[in-house]
Amino acid sequence: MTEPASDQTASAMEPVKPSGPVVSSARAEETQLIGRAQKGDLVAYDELVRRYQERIYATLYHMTSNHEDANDLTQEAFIKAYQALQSFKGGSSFYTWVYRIAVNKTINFLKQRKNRYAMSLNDLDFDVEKDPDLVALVSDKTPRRDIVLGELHKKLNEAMQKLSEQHRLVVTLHDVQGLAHEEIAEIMQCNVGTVRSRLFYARQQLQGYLADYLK
Amino acid sequence: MSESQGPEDFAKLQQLLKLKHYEQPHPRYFNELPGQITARLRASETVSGQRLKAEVMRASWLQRLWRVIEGRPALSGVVTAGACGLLLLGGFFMVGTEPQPDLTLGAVGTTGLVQSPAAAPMLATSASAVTPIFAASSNSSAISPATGSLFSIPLGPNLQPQPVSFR
Repeated sequence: MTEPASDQTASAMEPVKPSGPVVSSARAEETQLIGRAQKGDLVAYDELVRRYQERIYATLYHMTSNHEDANDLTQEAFIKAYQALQSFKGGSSFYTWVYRIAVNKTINFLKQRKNRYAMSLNDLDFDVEKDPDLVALVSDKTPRRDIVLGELHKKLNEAMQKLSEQHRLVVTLHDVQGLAHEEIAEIMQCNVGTVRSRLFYARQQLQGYLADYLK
Repeated sequence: MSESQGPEDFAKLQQLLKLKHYEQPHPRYFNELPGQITARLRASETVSGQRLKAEVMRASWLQRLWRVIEGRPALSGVVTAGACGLLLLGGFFMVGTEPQPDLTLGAVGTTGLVQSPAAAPMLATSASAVTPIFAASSNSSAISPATGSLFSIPLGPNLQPQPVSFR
């Protein structure tokens, strides 16, 4: 069992796409872990959780803009996935399957939460001020970059929360998590065309909400 | 409507969305999360295990047997096949022991009481005393109690018919 690095950097949240034999051996190892977990081996399931927790948590966090909610939903999603593991036949990848459980749970939660929404944002990593894209966005506006980034952070999350759950999910999975349209279609159980059109609409909406910060 | 309609239009937005990559929970969060999930799973397994045990203790032997069987399709199949087999075997033996009609006894022989050789002579004797109630006749109007009818069953020396008055 591998321990993840204690210092979580931005790269940890971004999807890693290995290729070739690495993929097949990782798949085989994952299949073995799933088989053991299906027989009730919690150590094997713990390893599966470690593999996908960051991506699942990040998606749920960006969907809710609330750390506590994202934490609860991540735990519940993994618990539900374990309880339903017998029904996993390997038709899709395990991570798509877990994503689907997590996303469905979150959408149901958000529908119920509408009237009691409060943001509880995670802190920005210190490396944010070194990102050239973000430096380009704020450096010409103010010498106090951290304050501007903090404000942008809040405004961006507010704008995200104004989107419908489906549109927010598409933006989160594609623009933040870096998933392919096909993977998103599989998770959302819709066709790729729907994903593309939802993404376009969601970006337009966001652009409108954040127009003042994108000039 | 497609994504390729204006990739440059969204370039700044995508730059801004990179900000989301830097939102991080506290450093130890991902070290602790799997342990919390596993602990919750263990707790729920313990609770459900205890509940199941308590239910099993409370249940009767038949219910316990049923629980054991219903959880195992192969075992339930074997039990069902066994029960059917026993039923068929029972039916087979019943048919095998069915008595053959004894022609010397006529209708009485079909009662199945003549299998014992000791009983046979006795029944044969009593059968000779049993005569048809109505004499066989081709003339339906001539139906009348025959001489050896039920009314003329020979009575013992101490049994004599007495006249009865209902007044």
